[in-house]
Amino acid sequence: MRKRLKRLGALALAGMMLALSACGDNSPSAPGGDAPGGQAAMGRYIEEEYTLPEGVGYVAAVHRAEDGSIKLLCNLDKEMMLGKWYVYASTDGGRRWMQEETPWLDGLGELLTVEAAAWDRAGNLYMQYMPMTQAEFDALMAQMEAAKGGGASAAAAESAETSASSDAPAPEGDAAGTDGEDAGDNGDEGLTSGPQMPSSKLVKVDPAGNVEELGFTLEAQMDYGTLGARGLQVAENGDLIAECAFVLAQFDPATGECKHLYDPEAFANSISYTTLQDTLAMTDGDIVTFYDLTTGEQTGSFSTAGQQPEDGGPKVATIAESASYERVLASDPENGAVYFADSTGVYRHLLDGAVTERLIDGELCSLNMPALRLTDLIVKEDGSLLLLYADGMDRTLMNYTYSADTPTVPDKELRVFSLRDNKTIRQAMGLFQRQNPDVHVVYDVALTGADAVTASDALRTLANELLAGKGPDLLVLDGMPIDSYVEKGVLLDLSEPVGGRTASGEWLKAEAESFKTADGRIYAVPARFSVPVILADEEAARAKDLTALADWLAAQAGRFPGIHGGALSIVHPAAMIDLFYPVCSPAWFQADGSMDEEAFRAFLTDLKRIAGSATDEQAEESKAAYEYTGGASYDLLWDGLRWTYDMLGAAAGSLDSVKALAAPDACIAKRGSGELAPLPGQTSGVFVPRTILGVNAASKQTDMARAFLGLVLSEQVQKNNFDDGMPVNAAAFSNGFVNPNPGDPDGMYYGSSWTGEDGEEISMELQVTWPSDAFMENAENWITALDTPSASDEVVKQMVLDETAGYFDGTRTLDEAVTALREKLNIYLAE
Amino acid sequence: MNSRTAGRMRGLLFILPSLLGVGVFVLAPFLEVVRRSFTGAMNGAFVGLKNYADVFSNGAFRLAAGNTLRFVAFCMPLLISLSLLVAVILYGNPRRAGFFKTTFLIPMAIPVASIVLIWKALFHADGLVNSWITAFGGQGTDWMQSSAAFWVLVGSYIWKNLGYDVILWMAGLANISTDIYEAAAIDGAGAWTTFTRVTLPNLLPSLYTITVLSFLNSFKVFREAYLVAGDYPHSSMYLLQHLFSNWFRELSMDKLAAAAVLVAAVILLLILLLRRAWETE
Repeated sequence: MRKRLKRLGALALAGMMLALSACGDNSPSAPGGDAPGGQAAMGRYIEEEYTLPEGVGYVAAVHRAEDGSIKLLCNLDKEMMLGKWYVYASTDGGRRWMQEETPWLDGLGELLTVEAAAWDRAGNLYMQYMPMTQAEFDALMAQMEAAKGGGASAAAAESAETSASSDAPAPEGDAAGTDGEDAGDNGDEGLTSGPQMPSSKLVKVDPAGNVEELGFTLEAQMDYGTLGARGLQVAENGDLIAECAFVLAQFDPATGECKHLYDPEAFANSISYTTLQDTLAMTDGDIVTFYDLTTGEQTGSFSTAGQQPEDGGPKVATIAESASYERVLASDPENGAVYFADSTGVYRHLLDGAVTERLIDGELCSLNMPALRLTDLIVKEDGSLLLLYADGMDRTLMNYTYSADTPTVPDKELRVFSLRDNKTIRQAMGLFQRQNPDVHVVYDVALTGADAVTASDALRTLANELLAGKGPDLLVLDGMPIDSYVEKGVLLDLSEPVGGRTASGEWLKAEAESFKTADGRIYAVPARFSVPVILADEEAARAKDLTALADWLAAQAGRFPGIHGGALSIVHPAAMIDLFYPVCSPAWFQADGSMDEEAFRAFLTDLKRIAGSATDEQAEESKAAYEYTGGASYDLLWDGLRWTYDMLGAAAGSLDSVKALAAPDACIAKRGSGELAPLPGQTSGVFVPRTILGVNAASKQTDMARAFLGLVLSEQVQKNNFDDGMPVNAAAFSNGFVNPNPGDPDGMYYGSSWTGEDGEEISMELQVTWPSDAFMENAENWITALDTPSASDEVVKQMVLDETAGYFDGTRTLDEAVTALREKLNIYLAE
Repeated sequence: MNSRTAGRMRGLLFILPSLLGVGVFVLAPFLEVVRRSFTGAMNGAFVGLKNYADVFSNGAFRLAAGNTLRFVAFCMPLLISLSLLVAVILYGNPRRAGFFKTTFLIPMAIPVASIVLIWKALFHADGLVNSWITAFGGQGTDWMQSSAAFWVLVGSYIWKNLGYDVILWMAGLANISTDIYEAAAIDGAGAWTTFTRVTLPNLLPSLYTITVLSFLNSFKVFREAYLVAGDYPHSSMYLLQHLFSNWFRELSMDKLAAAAVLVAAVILLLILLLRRAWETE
């Protein structure tokens, strides 16, 4: 009996252990996030675009009044803050807008630049502005033109014209007439004798339109200088909280006294903040910090870093590393809550609570789109949200209303995978979500930098998923073994849609068909492409190959002394390999796939000759730049500037956008000679396919994946420039050569100065305007004539870097380096 | 059911959980690998012996298999004889054996990541070993990017596994009856004769276990090799595991399955040969 009891006890114990340890269901639930009981979790904010008043340019303030109406202070000029300003109001939550009668605005001045503005809860508008008459403006412009002719600074121009010119260099106006040498010589003079700007004023305008000028302006006095206001909010106690560059300053509206300064520890280009009751909430890196407006003391904080989702819940993007994200704060006075929004979503945190709740998943709406920059967030009375975005020069207003009948996460799921984050994909995600609200585009980025995962690890994980038939629907194949995937049948044949689009001229043929196989099939399509280029005098730019270029560069040895000089700035071996790999690597392999040793030998010899053209300090400088950037320093602008001032023999780099043509053109114009051309290498006509897309042949949603691929290559997506390559979409590519901002003749100014070895001050400057039609037409012609795709094989490149380091530092002979590479390469190729 | 049958049934019940585990987690997946070795990489189409032909004609496989065999053939005799020597010395000095046994086991307790750091600090082109060599007027070498990498791998394996094998040998030595040694001494046998005629024959059962365990442990050296030199180390230390790992990354499941079957067959054959040799003895 006792024995039997023991056996029964043991059996029960074993059963319990089995039940407790092995029967838990930890598998991720199906898309849609099943709630307990097997039903899909319901409730989601639905995004809807609202129309802003026609022609809205700069928005100085957005406000929800106590009666629920929304007010907007804006001008109707996208290119200049200076001009006429208007107040619009919406009584239906932002759907329709009516212009308010604002005679008081006319009374403030003929032309205004609104520096900072905000309404308080009672409806009073506080506005700091700079008035100007048309005559004063014209005089100022004339003064600036005159100053520019003698090398005027950009500072004055930019303060009047704002930073609009940074996005779109204006057409070539007087660029050719700006004599480079004179400009360089007289730059400092221009800085000190610039035109006088009118002084700012701060006014309070009550709801009836009565204007009261306050006797002070919003300026923070710091040890290092005075910081003017560029943002404003009004606290419930009436104090004015102004964003003055890098600090927040709290002013007493009656006396103008600066009560407190709030200085965040983390650097940010702009500080997001809001006020609620007697509390100021301010972003400081990944922390939102609360301050007591009475004492100025910190009273609390909470982290904006995301948490992992509960099983079945929507995917939460990790925002732990999001300090650089644009983040906007807003308050909900009725419910005592602080809201914040960034590209990962919209969140709510009760002032006296400890939990941060995510209301909107950024991946399910426009928040995720990199072309849109979030500027304002309004919490409406009914809990719905208004988000104002800047889309280049345009403004976009989106409304988010909670729908209890909509699944929390859409039923359908489209999975996109890439090794590294890709802005073009994120842009397409936002648009695809808008067009297909019932689809959740899940974007898996393997290498986030937040962990120790290597590309190899990520590819093995992907292989696991593909083998299990659970792979992503769409693959961004950059850095992946494309040939192997094609050979194994992983990718879907896209020759039909690609062939159709290239035949109709919708996509650039050579680029879109980069991966056409011998039998005419296309399994991978690049959405972007880059071009390795050189900016140099004609002889170097037209060098017929790498050897000819190396001859020329080697002949320049000693001509460009100093740490910032050199025949070429990229002379560190690893950086040179990075630079020349695309234009040389196609020549290293013979038709049967084996290595062409002679070609590789010539490559190494030429690179060593180029490296030999630099002094030790120049080589160290190049090495430091390479190690700092983690790759070759491909900076056509700054190298071009040095070339313009005859400090470099040539500038080389990667042309990643059509807009980037402006800088070389400006350099050539200022120097008076030179040429931008494809980088000479061992292969000619080279372009580098990027954002290479492939559809998983085993996907159950190949049509949807193909539709997404089509969207990525659409003009709508490709017209946005993320500096990740030029568009393969023909219309987006061609339109890129058209000046988007013909009204701005000044473009952008760049300058650099330092103290030379002998203590002398050296300065350089460059005005970059939109290139001439002839330059752009020529560039478009030679870019479209490129016909050799050179996709980087990261394994081969790493082998070259590893095995040739000894050759460049003198510990290996050329033969040893080539033999070592051949041995490794043979293993790789044999696999 | 007689008592003998009941006893057999009881025995079967005892090994059943283990058998089930091996069946589910080892045998069934291996059978799937065998099946895949006759099919295409992703489409599952039957391709006959093509994958095996591909593997045999594959230069990377031949290199990796050669290196692995060379490594095993060199390391195992070295490790077994060295550990036996140390074990015999320690067994003869029981007072000091405790301290040294612990010392020899320390490498097993060091995490692989730490070992890798030690490797890098020692054998990098600018590492400690080269600095010592140059300090004495010698010429340094890039240990991990030359044929010296193989010897670094051998050294690492010996260093890490010596203590474990010493313990196993000492357990074997402890099992030899002292009566036999006394009888040999009475017969006038010297130390060498006692070792070769008494100790070694009595250690043969341990030899089988130690050989098999050392053989299996030799595969673990890949962890260090991979963490130090990545997917493509110097060709002298490119092992089968490198190849398998790279094939898996590239989704070459066809070749991977065929090669895995071949390797399993070779290992099984070696173990059976060892067992047979042991039984014959």
